Amino acid sequence: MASVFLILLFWFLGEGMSRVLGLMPGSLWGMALLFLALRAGLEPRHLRPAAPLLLRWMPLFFVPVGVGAVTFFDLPARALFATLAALLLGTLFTLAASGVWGRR
Amino acid sequence: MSLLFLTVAVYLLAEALYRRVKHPLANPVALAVLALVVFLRLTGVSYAEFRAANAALIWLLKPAVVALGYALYRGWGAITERAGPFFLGVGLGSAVSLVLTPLLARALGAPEPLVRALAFKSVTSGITVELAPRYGADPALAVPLVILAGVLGAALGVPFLRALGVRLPFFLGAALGTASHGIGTARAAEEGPEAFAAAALAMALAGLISGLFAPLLLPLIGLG
Repeated sequence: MASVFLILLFWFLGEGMSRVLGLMPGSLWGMALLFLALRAGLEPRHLRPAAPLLLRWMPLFFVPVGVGAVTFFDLPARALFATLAALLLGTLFTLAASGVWGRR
Repeated sequence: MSLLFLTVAVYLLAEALYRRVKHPLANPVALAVLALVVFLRLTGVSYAEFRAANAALIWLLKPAVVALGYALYRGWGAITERAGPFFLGVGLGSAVSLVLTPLLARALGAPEPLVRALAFKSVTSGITVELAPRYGADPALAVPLVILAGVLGAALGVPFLRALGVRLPFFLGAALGTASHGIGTARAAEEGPEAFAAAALAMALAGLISGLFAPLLLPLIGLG
């Protein structure tokens, strides 16, 4: 249970940071704060089992949002084509920009 | 309630199928989303109703994003002496994705809601759900594009990067994690443990970096 409490605590602290400093959503601040706390010496075992369980099932949690794809059927074909073309090109550019620094 | 049960059941089936097929295109999230989209189309259940029934699952994304801090910590050791090119790659890749993808979409004539949604195409879905609404993007448009960017990167990434001269598994992983988040990370696992560790770390880091870059970069292209 302690691990659940810690996740909620960092989330809560993150929401506070988001209120005060803005910039990022509270959960993302919580992620950054949790990482910094672990680097500063918080024992990772205190985050088990909650953290690994949440990470294990995260893909399930965003499936319902992904089903928003159903609204794509209402789009005109041209808009859909432009979106998919930009998605493909953007993905290739992102791969290149992030990978080429390790070229040998 | 029964729609929530359906989501969980379909996802578990998709995972079981993925374990048998082991192909990146059979990604469990993509399969489950596809099956549920077909279900909604056939039954005529509205997306609003489906989403409301699944609110509990969506809520769990928030603590799961916090837990990514734990994943980031666990993966940190994988960087070692390659820190320079790794951070440069994750940072630049995230910036390119945030700025270039919406610009391309705009140039190709995509409607504004999709231009906005495309900015987040490489950000892991849990973080996209949190980030997108702050920039006027609908998560229901953005997350399907995120999943598709994952599938595309997993399918094309390795041959594309090899053609560019990237051969070290570590940097194949870094690029797959940055551009294609969790789905790219699953593909990176096939290139060995080093590629997998780099990808998992790049995914979490790219999500965080995108959160930090978005308020600086998106206003530059009129998406503030």
